[in-house]
Amino acid sequence: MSKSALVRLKEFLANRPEGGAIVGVVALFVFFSLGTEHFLAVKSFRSMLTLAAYWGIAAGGVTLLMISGEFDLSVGSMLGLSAMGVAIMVNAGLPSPIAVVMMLIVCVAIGLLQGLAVVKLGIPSFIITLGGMLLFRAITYLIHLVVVQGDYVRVPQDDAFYQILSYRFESGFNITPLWFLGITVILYLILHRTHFGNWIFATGGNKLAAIQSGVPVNRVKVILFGLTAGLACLAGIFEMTRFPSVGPQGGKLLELYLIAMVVMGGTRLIGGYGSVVGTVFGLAMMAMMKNGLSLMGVSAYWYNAVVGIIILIAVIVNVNSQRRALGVRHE
Amino acid sequence: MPKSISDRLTGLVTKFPEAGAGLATLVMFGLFSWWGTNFLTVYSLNTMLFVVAEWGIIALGFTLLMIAGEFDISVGSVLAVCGVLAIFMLNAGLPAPIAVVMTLIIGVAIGLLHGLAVIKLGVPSFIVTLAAMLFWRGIVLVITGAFPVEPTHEPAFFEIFSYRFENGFNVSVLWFFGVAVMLALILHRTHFGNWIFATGGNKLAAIEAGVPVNRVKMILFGLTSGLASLAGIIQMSRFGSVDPLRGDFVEFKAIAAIVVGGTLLMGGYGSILGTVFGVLLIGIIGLGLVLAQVPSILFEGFLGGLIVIGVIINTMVQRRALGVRGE
Repeated sequence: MSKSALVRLKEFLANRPEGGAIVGVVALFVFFSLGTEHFLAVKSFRSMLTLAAYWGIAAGGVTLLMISGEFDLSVGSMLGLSAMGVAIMVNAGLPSPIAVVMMLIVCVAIGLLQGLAVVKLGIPSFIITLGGMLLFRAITYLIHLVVVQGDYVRVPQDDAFYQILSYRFESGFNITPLWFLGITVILYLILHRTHFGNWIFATGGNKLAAIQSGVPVNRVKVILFGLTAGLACLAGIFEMTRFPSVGPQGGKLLELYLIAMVVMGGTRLIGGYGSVVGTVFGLAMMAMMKNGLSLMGVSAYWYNAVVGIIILIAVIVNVNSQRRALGVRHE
Repeated sequence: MPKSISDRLTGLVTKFPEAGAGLATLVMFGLFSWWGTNFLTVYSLNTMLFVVAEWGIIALGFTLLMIAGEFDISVGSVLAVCGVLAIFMLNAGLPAPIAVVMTLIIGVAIGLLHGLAVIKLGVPSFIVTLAAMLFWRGIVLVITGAFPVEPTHEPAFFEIFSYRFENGFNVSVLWFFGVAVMLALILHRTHFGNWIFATGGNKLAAIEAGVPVNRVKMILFGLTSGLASLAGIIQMSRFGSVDPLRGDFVEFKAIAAIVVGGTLLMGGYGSILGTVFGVLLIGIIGLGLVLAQVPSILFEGFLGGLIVIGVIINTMVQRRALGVRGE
């Protein structure tokens, strides 16, 4: 007996982690398109794309880390720190490529350290990175106070290296989304086409079983912490190149929104199940909400409330459709 | 064979998870007393006490929730919402006692709502309360239009919550310790307290043993939010107004205090006394930093460093004491 197209579509969606997110994206798109004609304008897409790209670069790392069963709440602070750090280094005379590379090395090192603390000392990643979040933010402010006396740090807009990262075409489109796409594709390939990707799923899904199968879970986690930190740093640098000046508050509380986006995309909080593509959809939903709500003239004060509800709905849909698809994964 | 010092210490900490935090509190207190000017005055200590009492009350409820294995990061937003609602009710002419009781009821109801979402809909508490945090903060912004809200008159009734004596002591501190004692008794002297530990320690085993885990969690969600609304009322009584950013960051301070106090993040192990020490410790450090005129942003950094160090120490000690908890 052949199944109707609708049933097959439903099954297809339910069996994939991104299923719920796809529905969500479509629903929100339709909603906002009907809500205001400005939503469909090129300008609106451009701003959504740029937003999503900057969030997305950091979100990819968070996704992989969450699939392996860990959290990183310090992403936003690392982002802010990187933006401020590179800007100051360049102002001090360091050539921008060197400043960027140095910052990347520092951030990856910090990430690896956090990962080591988690696996060697057995401290929950939630706590370590919570501490990291507060620490790095304070360091950013401290550097800001001490080095530039609280003034805004200027970012030269015509720096050649920055152009590679954030070139603005005449149509107004930015090159950053291409970077985001490239990074996402690489992450996707890692996750689904390499042994390492398999190890990530195994580590998150059933750590003990993974260890017994010979998966080097600790190494996987430490590497992912380093990766997440590096991508956060990169996102911060991209964000920095967009504006003529940078302050110390970049990325504040971003990590919470990132987690929301990743979970909205179908990745499970407990790990072992998820998808980078889903995260892209989660990003799309957030970007659409941010853009669409303001275009519709909704007061900024409602933004928080609406986002909260949408996150909840999206996760409820995901959890319940996944439950049915995976069989109840005993909570 | 004689026990070594480290064995004795480990034994101490096993029986008393709050030992480490207590020690740290004493040490920091001694340090700042000796090093800081004006630290050891009655006035500044009293000031510190009532400032931490407000979010400390939330930390106490949150401790029980964490022992049961759940999270609630919406507490700061609930604090703000309830404070605002209380003022609105006053301005609408409701007598103060009724406004207070209704606000508390609303707070508990909000918590039960969160609990329902977690239990019935199967969404992890972290996500539910993250969404809730955004939602309630949004509601506060919408209702207040981002302006501080004041009651048209302030009934004397509110002095029960926040009356300040001349030496700086505030009644709210009594509320804090009162709640602490009550919750400690519940945790260690009642079946319910047992159930809390069981639910967090090994949920499946608890269910098999007949513990109504879902009901336990629901009650604790309600309790945590209810205490958040109490804190909102206390803060409102102190300031005489509520502004839309009230309660911001409270959830992180609470987590810091709880974790430093020895409660484990994954649940099943913890202590109210430890949280009390954690709260006091953060208060002492905050007071010391303020008096040393350190810029306030660094306080966040210290908090971060404190959390990390506190957890490292606690985890390492507890691991040795309990044997590796099946990592």
